[in-house]
Amino acid sequence: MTANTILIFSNDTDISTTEVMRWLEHIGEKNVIRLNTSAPIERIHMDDDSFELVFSDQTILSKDLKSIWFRRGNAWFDGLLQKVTLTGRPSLAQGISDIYVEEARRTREYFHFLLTRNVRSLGHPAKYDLNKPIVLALARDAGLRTPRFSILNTKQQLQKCMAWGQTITKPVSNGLYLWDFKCEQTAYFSYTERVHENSFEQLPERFPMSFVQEEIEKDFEVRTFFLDGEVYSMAILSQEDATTSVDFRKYNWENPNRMVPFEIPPCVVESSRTLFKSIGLNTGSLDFIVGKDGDFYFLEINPIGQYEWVSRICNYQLDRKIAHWLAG
Amino acid sequence: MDPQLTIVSFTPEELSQLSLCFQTVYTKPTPPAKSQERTLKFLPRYSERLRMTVASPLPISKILGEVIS
Repeated sequence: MTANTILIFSNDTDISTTEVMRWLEHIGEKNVIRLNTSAPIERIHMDDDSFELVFSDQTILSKDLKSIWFRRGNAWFDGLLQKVTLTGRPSLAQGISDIYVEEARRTREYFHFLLTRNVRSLGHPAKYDLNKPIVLALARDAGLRTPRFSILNTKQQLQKCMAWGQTITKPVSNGLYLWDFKCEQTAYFSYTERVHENSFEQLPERFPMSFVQEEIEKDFEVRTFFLDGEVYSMAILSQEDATTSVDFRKYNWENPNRMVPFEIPPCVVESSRTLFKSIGLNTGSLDFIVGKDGDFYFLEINPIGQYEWVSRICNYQLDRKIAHWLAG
Repeated sequence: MDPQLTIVSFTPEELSQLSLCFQTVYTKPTPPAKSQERTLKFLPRYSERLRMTVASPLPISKILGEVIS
């Protein structure tokens, strides 16, 4: 029997997954399975070369898979090892429960290893949340220009960075995107922000560890979707609007930024390919700034970011291209 | 910028606990619980398919012809 099943790891609400599946149906792919993060896996069996997953009335066998898309999520198997309760032995129960967390993590790692070793895969389950400073270092190795940055916790160090010119700050990990439906009925967000002189004056000598970066005076921004070596880019003309000039995610709903299809230079394409290869990824979204000096400055990669807007605005039909990639 | 967004005020003591990137945080009221399906509201053309996906009794869904058609 030939491997003819396409497996998509996703979540319940990802629209792009749904659109890719519609394309797969259109091009005649009959065996497509969407495994959402909420999936209650009933039975699992893995050995040294294969696996079998059983859920509801369906079974996934590794030998049947022809391709995989790691679109979203990675917390498989957590429900198979639940928190332990032992009467009169809370420390032991907690100790085993803690080890269960590791057990699930290692099992997941092996599952991912089996999957990616044996089956053509788009995306990577262990690389959905990249380390920003490490990726910046790898980008420089790949030949891309990056803004200078510093991780610091003293006013003295910050003062040196502010001598670069304008300085911005953002988290090393992810910004705040918190919808509190339970307690305060309030949502909280953070964006990339400038470090201002007046706020500098009010800082104590030492403050919590912070990431600061040189602000590149930009002509425009570029969002590029990378699909197995091919690039699809869009220019975002955010600079002329004071609301969006530091972070275009502070959308100006009344006068939106103009966004247009864009072609990045061949040397930037080649460096991007090198960067993706060094990270061990074959898809994701890259953010660039094009400086007033005309140079491209790499900012970061989001491996599982939304690409739907780039596709729609630029008519790239990325859902269709992903579907064809999965169909082989 | 979203006109509903306002900047959160922090006391000096609170600020001393915050990394520089979180010294400016924005807030806005969330919609009432009944209309939390903001994605559906935002993209109405997807609403039917999304509703079917979310409401599916099979969180793992063999989609073609069964859950989404």
